[in-house]
Amino acid sequence: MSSLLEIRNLFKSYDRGPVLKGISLNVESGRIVGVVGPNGCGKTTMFKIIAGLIGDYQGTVLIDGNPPGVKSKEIISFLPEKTYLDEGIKAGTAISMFADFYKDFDRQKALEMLKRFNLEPGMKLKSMSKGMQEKLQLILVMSRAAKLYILDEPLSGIDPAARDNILDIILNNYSENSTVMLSTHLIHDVERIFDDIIMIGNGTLLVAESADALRERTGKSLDQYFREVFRC
Amino acid sequence: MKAGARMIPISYLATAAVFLVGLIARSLKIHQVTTATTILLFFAGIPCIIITLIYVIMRFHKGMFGNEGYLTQTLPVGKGQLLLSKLISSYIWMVASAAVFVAAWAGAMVVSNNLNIMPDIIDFVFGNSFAPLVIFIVVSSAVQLFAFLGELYFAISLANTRQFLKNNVVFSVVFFFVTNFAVSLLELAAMLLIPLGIKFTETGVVWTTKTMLGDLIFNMEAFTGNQPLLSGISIGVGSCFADLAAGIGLLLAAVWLLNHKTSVK
Amino acid sequence: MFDVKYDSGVPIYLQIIHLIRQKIVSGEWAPGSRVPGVRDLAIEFGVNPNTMQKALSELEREGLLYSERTAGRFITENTGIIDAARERLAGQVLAEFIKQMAQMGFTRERTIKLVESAFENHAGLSEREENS
Repeated sequence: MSSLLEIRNLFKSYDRGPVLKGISLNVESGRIVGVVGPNGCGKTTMFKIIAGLIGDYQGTVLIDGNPPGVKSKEIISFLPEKTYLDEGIKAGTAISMFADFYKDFDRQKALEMLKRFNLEPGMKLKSMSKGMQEKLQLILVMSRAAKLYILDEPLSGIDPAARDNILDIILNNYSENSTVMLSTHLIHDVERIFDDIIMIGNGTLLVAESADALRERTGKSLDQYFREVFRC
Repeated sequence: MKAGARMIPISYLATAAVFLVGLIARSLKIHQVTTATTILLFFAGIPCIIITLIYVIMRFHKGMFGNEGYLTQTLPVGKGQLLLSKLISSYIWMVASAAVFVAAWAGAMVVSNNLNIMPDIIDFVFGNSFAPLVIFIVVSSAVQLFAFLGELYFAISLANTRQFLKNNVVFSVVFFFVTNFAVSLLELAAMLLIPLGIKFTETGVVWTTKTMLGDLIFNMEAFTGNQPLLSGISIGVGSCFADLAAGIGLLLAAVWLLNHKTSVK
Repeated sequence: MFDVKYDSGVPIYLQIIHLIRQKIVSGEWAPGSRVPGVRDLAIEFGVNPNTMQKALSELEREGLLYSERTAGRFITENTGIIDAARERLAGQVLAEFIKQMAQMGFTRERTIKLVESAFENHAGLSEREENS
């Protein structure tokens, strides 16, 4: 049985230098995977390659057997750190737009989540705080029935109270048929929901194992282990 | 983006407003105003075209490579399809603005009470004697616009590849002018060397299957100094083929770049 | 009550097992009652469903929980098993207590005397609470 995500010898360089230096890993379906590493370690670049935003790389990337392209984009739901919506757009319009673009989009679910986060369909993006904008983009991404959700720092800019809300949404969305890969700096707050942990340092893969296995092996929490590994 | 898209119809409306003012001034016989609006109308089409051009450029650059690119390039849609849809809508807007430009000129004629020469112009243009020239101008413009958009999209795409990504805006401009120049050379060569042209004779304009270059050389050798300059000269229409080929080639190249070499910052 | 410390080096599924054992032994989860589904439990505890599943499977193996194919998962009604678990838990608490008292330098006799007076104070306290 092949993995949902297969990466073999992934190399990527920008003009400033190499960013990914030979990453190989497998991610299975039905997992919640944490991807952690210091700033600039290459996690966002790796996500962008998987999502199909960077076409220039060396190595093999297969999502459900397909390289990044039209087929893989149908089953990948990507939440970047950036705001990609037009700032004049209304929340409700954004939802309709996604419903048009993606067959697997659940409009009902999206509207319910809007309500749960105290957002109105009529609100324009520019009149929302940064936190609200991020919540909206998260709602759009999680309302799709994708096989691979990639969330790049979904908790940054979110107040602590709402963080649990978001983690609940991720847990609620869990199914054996899909996998969530999420990157975060807040390992301490989030590590309890990870099945597996991927640690990237300076473009190379340092850790790729189950979270509990790492805890058992090192006798440390993920957060403690991370701090040790990346101590300056 | 929405703001940009709204600017174009606004510029059309502004032009129409000037025309209306001119009409009113004409019926009220306010001489200065009719003169002023006539002159304005001759130039009114230019801002329309410029605004449309800016919109076309921004729509491609921002839509594909700006923050919006994170949405555009993760849609389950082929890059060729994305490019094509942007191409079609941009082409239509440019044609519309060109039409407004022409309409503004017609409006200038009306306001300046020169409408009576219109039948003469129409006869002149559509009369059999000048048909090939008219066809050439229309087809040539259409294909040049196509090639132009191809140059634009290719240049912007190339500027967003790894080596140039950091300064993609500057490189977009550079690549555009380089590509534009290259295509112009191609046009020139095709115009001179492809054996199909239109020939100006005493009786009007006809098709010819001599190369323009050949014709020029022939005419220069036969020139005695007493002949009217234009007669016997032909203009090669091969440039249209060059534009079409260039447009197609550049768009295909842009799609290839989008699939294999570009990144969204 | 022992709370799950998600920052400790102990695997989370072990922490969950410990926590649920306490709930069963204390009667908070009554014998014979139905256990919520994996997903709901996971959300309630704020952990990964796979982790929760692992913990529940382990508890099933111990016999504290059992599952009926269509009806779901239940807490055992076998008081013998629950008592045994209670004893084991008490043993762990006592072992830790004895270790800590010894670390502070208390002898066995002194420790037992302290325990007895602590109970009396505790009883006195609860009597006063009942009477007031």
